[in-house]
Amino acid sequence: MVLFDGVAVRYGAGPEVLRGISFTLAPGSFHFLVGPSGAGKSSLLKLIYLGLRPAAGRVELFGRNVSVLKRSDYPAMRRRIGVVFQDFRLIDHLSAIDNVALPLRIAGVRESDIRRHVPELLAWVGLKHHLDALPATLSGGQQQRVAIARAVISRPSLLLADEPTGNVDDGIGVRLMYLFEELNKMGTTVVIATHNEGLVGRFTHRQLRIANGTVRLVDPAAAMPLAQSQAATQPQIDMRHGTAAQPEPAAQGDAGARQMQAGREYAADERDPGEPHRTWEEPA
Amino acid sequence: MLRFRTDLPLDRDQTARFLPWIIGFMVYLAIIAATIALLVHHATQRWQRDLSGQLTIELPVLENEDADSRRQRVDAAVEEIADTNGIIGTRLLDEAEMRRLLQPWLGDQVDQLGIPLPDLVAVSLAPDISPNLSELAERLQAVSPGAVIEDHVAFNAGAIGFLRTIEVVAISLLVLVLAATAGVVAFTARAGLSIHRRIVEVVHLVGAHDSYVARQFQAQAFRYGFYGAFIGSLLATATLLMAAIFATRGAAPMTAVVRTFEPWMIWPLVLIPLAAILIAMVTVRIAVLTALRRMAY
Repeated sequence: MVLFDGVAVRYGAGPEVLRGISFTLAPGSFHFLVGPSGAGKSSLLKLIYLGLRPAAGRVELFGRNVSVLKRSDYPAMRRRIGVVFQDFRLIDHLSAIDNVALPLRIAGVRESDIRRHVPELLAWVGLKHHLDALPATLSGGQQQRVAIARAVISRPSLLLADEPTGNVDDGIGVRLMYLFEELNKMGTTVVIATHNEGLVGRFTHRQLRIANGTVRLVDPAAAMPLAQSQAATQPQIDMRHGTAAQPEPAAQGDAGARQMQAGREYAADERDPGEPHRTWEEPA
Repeated sequence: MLRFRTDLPLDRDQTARFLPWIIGFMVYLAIIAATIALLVHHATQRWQRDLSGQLTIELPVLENEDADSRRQRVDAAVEEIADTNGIIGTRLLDEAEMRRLLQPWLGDQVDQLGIPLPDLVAVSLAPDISPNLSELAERLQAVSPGAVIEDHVAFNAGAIGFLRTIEVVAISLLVLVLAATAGVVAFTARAGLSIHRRIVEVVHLVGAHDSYVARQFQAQAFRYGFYGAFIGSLLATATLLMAAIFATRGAAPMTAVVRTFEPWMIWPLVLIPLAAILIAMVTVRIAVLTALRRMAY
């Protein structure tokens, strides 16, 4: 899915902020990207979502070397990646529903499909009553969920989240993590960048730890007895009822789960590089 | 009217707000310039066609000459002219024709001015033989003293040169105005791109091609171009109508040019607004795509 081999990052003529980075993210894996603020987590994510070119080394994405990609190849690659930005990057003059619909409109999905699926997903993240709200009228947590919905609406193969719990309290932060785990269970490869060690400690997912410009892979599950490992990864909140600050009825949660199920199947189809990403159909 | 769904709030840009008026002004200037160029070009061609292969011989009125003597003198002069090798036809202009010719220059009251009007002989020349005009002039002096041969070629050269200059200036103005329109539109698009850089980045990062972003600017260019074209053509129509009304009452050369107007000459009113919209859209597309290629995202 993602391969880094001896990658270095430098801004302008400055020193290398990352160097000799090598790791592989297998399809369907879940990783934390951990390190203090300013360690280079966002830079590493930028490399993955094609927002930055490496100063040295090789980055492979979905089996393709990104350094030989043409600019016109980027959109197709990016449509397979969902990104939750640290500052959300919602478009201020667009409503929640239009923000979430953006990747679909760009991909040329029919408006009738957008009108059917986007409200369903927003309901799933607890924003059923805020479909037409502008970002400025939403709380930080609500904006966060709009950003997450936008990142997952096109059912990406790879989900990157940069400090997704940085603007919410611990309770919501944990709920968001369970949301990401749900997505991961449906086949999405997930990378969560965070400096919140407490949050990371609650889960047994592999960790890419950044320090002094280099990355070290840590696997907490490997160092933990099996029973403890299973207990640590067990969700403590039912996602269908507790994802959002405003709980949704179970029926809507089920609809959301179906939505994500559809997403998983679509994502599986997406892995065929020959298939255009322009349709939205429920699985048979 | 003409609202399109857009991810970029381009209509809120201060720099773009005046674009319809600027385009309108440019369209106005372009239509006026094109109409002038067309009218002058048409008039020039018509004059050249009418006057080529012709010359006029003026036989001034002699003092104390009675009507019979005048008629005999003029007939003798016309005979001399007709006998010249290279001249294939002569025609003595009658009074009504003289009055019509002089009306644009001296007005309707020619008779009341008390000016002794000379006799004019319109001469048709053979296309392949040049008459010996100096020899003809000598012969004419013998039968009709003071006769003047007016070779249209000399007059044509000056007048047509002047008209050609006007035409070139008008065409240059047209080209400059259209180029300036493209420049203003390109500048506005680049400013818009700079203002909305953050949104453009997001749109790119969720999978948009450069052309998707360019289309949003093109939609705005179409809308503003349409408004501008409407404003410009409306003002230009009013101006041209007023100019036509005043020109028919005004100075002679202007009247002569305006009289060559034909209905098909309104094409600048139709084509230039369309061209302005097209230029705005194409310019915006090129400007935005070029700028986007330089962006990191």
